[in-house]
Amino acid sequence: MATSLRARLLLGAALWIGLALLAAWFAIAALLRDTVERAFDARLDAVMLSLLASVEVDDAGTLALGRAMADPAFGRVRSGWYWQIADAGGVRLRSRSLWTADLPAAAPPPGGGTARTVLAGPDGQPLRALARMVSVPGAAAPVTVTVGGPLAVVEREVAGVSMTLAIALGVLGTGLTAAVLLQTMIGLAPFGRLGRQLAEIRRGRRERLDDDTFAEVAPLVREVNALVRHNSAVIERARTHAANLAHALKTPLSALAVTAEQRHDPEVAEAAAQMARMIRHHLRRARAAASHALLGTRTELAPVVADLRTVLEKVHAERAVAIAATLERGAAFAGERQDLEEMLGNLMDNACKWARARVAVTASVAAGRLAVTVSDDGPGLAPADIERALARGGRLDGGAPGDGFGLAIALDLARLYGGDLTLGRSDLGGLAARLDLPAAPE
Amino acid sequence: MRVLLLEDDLRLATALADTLRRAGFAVDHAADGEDGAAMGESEPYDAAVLDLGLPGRDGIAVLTGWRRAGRAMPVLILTARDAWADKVEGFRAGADDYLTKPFRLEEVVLRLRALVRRAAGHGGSVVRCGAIALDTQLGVFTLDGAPLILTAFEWRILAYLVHHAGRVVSRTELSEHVYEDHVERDHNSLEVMVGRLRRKVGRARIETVRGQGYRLSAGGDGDLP
Repeated sequence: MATSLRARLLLGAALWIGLALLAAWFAIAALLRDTVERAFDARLDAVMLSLLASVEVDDAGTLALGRAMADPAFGRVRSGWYWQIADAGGVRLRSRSLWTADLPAAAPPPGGGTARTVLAGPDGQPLRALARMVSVPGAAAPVTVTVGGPLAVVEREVAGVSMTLAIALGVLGTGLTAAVLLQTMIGLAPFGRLGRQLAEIRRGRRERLDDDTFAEVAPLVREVNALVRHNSAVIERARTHAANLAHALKTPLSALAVTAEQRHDPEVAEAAAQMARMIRHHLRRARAAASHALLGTRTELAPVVADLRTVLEKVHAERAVAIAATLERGAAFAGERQDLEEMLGNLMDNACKWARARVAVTASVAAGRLAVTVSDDGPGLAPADIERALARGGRLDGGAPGDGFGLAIALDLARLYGGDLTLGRSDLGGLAARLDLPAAPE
Repeated sequence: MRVLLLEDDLRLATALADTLRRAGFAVDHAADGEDGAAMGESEPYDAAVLDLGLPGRDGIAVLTGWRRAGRAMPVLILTARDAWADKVEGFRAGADDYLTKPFRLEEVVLRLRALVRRAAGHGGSVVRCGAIALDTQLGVFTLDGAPLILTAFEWRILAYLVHHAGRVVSRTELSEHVYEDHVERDHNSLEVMVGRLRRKVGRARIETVRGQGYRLSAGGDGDLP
């Protein structure tokens, strides 16, 4: 399974962001709860202080409040906000909200400190309460003042703030993840570019990677470029070796063929001819296999046709064949010159062999394709012969000089470049060979 | 017809020289680029057979040197390299025809005869002078349509004369084109050979131009008046 570097980076970042956000959530939630509780306790404290300030023993010797409590919540029955003042004999004073009920007795520290505790309210709901033992002047025994409020209020408030916190952290998390995503995309972009350039190298549209890249990627680019150079050097070497071997073999092979001819030994002569054909075939394959690596080059058509024309008019001088070329201006082949020469050379040579007097080469460019037609005024080919002519090594021109590979070679090379060779009847009356090849842009 | 054969492979050179001699050529052989280049520049060859892969000096350089020195004889290139780029290079250097290895001896003979004939300005494959005709494809002389039986040396002399028919060919020129390099050139024996040829083709056809040389002419029925 292919693993993604981007997914890996994203996953790592997401994990850390998640952990950090979770820790933040816990810390901030605890802090918030603490703040809410403090505010709640401050409210209870205020009530406690106000109670302590106003409790007194009246003329009848009973406990009473000097003034009414300001906080209205304690006045509403069963509001959840309660206070009571009790001594050993029972509850002496209670908030209106308690009506006739009592809060459970708390156990405040006897030294005068305040106890914080959770009590069960009259309806059973939990109350957060403060209790304090004080001595009231004129009273026989110290009294216990208890103030409580509904714990649910604390919880509700904490829950509300927590929700806001969660949303805020969620938004933060999403934002961070998006930022990481963007960063990995920007950060990994050079690799995407490298990939595209490498693909272009393989297709032969470029020779090396651009080296104006980031410092972190530069060593990779250098190494890949070195590898590409090394690769083409190895191919070139292999190609040269193959060519040298083939050419070195041909001279002794010629001696063999010539000796066979002198001694009238057709078997040896045929074996030598077969060896020559095989050498030529494999040499051509070796060259063709390597030439793919150098696609993307541009070869002007006109000089190639002019060169071949000079050669062929001399070679076929005996038969005075005139070669006319009508080429679209700037027509160029997207490939190696040697391959174009091989294709056109074979087609034009073949045309000259069969022509009565005239051979015409025409070329035009349309929609990125180069169409080259070589026609002659010779006898032409029957449809059945056309198929045989294009088959590898088919020998149709047994009578004419040459090895009969010409058309097959041209077809092979054309296909290598994603093109084709078709044979038909020409306007001149003979064979028309049409090459369809990739055109090089101007 | 005298040709220069520049080929370093001894077996190939021997076979080529034998075949060319049998086909009526006088053959000088060199196995080294430097020697061959010098021979081609100093001797009046009717044609040259040049292997491109030579030791000493490669074939293309030899050919370029000849052309630069003004040597215009037709050159047939023998090469192991059969890419069109190599052929183009050869023709640019001044070649007139090429054969890729391995080739047939017969093919070399045919190509050479055609080159020599065209270089002498004859278009068709049969070179004629009156009743005498040389079929350069078959290498056969006919007189009024009947085959002429000639020795190899007679053939050589008549072939040179028929290619240059109507023009006076000096004895020196004739000897330069029918004797090989290593053979002692002897005007007297040449005279004897021409005399024998006259008996075969008709006295009047080969004139002796006093002090100048021989001339093959189309006129006359072959007998002196």
